[in-house]
Amino acid sequence: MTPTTYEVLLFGPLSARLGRSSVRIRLDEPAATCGVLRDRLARSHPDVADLLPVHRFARNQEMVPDDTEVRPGDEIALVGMVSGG
Amino acid sequence: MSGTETAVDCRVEIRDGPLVVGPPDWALEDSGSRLSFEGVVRPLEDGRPIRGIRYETYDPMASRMLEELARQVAGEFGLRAIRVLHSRGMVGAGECSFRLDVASPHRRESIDALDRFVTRMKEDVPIWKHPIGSAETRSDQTGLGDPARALSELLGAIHPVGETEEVDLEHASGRVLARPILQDRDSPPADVSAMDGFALRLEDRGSGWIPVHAEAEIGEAIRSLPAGVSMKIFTGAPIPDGADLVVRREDVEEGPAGEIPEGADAARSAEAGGGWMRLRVDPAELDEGRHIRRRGENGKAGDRVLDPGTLLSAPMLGALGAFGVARPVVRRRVRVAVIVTGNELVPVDREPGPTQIRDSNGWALRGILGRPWLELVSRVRARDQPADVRDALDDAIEAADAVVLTGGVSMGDHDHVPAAVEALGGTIHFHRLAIKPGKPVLGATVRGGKVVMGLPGNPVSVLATARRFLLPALRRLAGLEPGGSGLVRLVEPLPRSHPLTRFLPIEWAGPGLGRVIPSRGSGDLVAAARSTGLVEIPAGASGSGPWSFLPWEES
Repeated sequence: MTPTTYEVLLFGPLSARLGRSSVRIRLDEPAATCGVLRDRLARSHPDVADLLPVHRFARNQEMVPDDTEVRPGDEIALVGMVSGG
Repeated sequence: MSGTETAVDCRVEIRDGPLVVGPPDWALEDSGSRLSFEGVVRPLEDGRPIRGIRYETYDPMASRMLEELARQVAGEFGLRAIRVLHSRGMVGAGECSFRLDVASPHRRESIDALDRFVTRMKEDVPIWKHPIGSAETRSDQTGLGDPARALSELLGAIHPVGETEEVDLEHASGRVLARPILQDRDSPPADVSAMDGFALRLEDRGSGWIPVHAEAEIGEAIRSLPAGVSMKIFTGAPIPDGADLVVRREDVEEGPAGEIPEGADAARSAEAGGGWMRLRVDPAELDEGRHIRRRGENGKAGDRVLDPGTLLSAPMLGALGAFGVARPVVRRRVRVAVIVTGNELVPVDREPGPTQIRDSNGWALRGILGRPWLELVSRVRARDQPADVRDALDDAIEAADAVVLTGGVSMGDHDHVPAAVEALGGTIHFHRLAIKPGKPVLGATVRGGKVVMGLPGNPVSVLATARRFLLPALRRLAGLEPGGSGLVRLVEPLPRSHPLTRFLPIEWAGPGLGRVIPSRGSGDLVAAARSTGLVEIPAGASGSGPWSFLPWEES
């Protein structure tokens, strides 16, 4: 399985705290899920670990549960703490 | 109800900048009710003035979700038309950033649909607002703050109080050592025996009976060990000159008292004033220096034995006594002022009226602050009005190193502490943290490192925030290292996680074990009163731990 780098889009307080609008996560696992991305993010960026539990993944702009598989070419975003209106 | 399904006129748009439109130009026959809602950017965000709000949107998912939501709400409530407009980017204070227009046969559906739409939108749609303030305050730019980071930012701006004083050893317990304590002499002060036994020269190790010369008592002047004999010696006694080693009592056989043992050289009995002894072990095992503690082996005169920045504990006081430090140099006490705000508070010895309660937070804080290295210099009550809070803070900060403010329990929207801090030209390092209880906690510094801390009014919030944030800040002022924290496992694992860091009161349930005391919320002082301290459960965590434990009684 060729390693794939996913660019996870960030918004709101999560993005503001990290000072960036996306993070790159490289996955080597054959069966990669959003949950794996979440764990990897928590480990590589411990200073946002407290915000992650209230965020959910959007895959190709649809909200999905963490056990959803990710494939190369997917657009992945973390959505949470929304404050529109 | 007519049988014909009419298509809903549904328009959704996200536009850059403020919305400057009026109602839509609908041509609808059936709609007796048209309702418009405008969301306008307020000039204050959480009590602080802002220039405007910058809206961030995840496109095109945000428009798509707004459209799905619009169609869903229209269908659910039987709307004839719905139009949703939302801003993207910068919208100034007083300008419109969101607009919702609905039309329906009667007014009930319009009103309910509007309410439902806004509620659902605020929960689900990927749009975020970033207040753009006139004053930079860190916490609002990054969402609710992380407690550990917030505290370290505050601690970074605090410097220990400089002044020191001498105190009698009598009153030194629990004070902060300001100068290192040096050993005044070598330890041990001379070569001493490590065991009860017999001192011996290397050349006198042998297999036969050895005369025992005399005893060397603890504290007596060092004697010489004549050649050919041994000397009985006790632990701690000085090694007589000439002795090379000590053989343990268990490793020798002592001859019967008052008799010359069989095989001993009777001609030498004059040298055997202390009897006779014979080695039980191989003489080759007895090397030079065996069971001797050399002078200065534990520490030399001038060695540093206690470092500054430590709280004087019982063993430290013992060490000070041993090294002859009758008046250790300590840091002066950290001066703390407490301001309790709340118009509805009465003192402990009064009967509260129907809308009043007694002040409990002032007393709880006194408990937290009752340490030998702190000094409570003032405790005042202030009315919960901006000018009163500002004046009280202004007064208190004169004589204090730290001022703690706590609100009345019915604080509601009143929070005059940030404005009071800003009026003093201070820096707010954190305000509102992702914790429960205690979210509104504020940590600031004014006038070059004096601490101002605003604690929420609820009794358990006061205790949790004082223990977790105030005490470390005061320790820093006192020149102390941050206290370590013990760990505790919970006998009943927490079933659910929470997006905020939680502080839960626990009671002792065995060594390293705690049991959460059920609490009815942050006003439940009784649960807190039964507890020995709090556990800190990080956001998103559940289970039995081990968790960081914050005891009320700090050692």
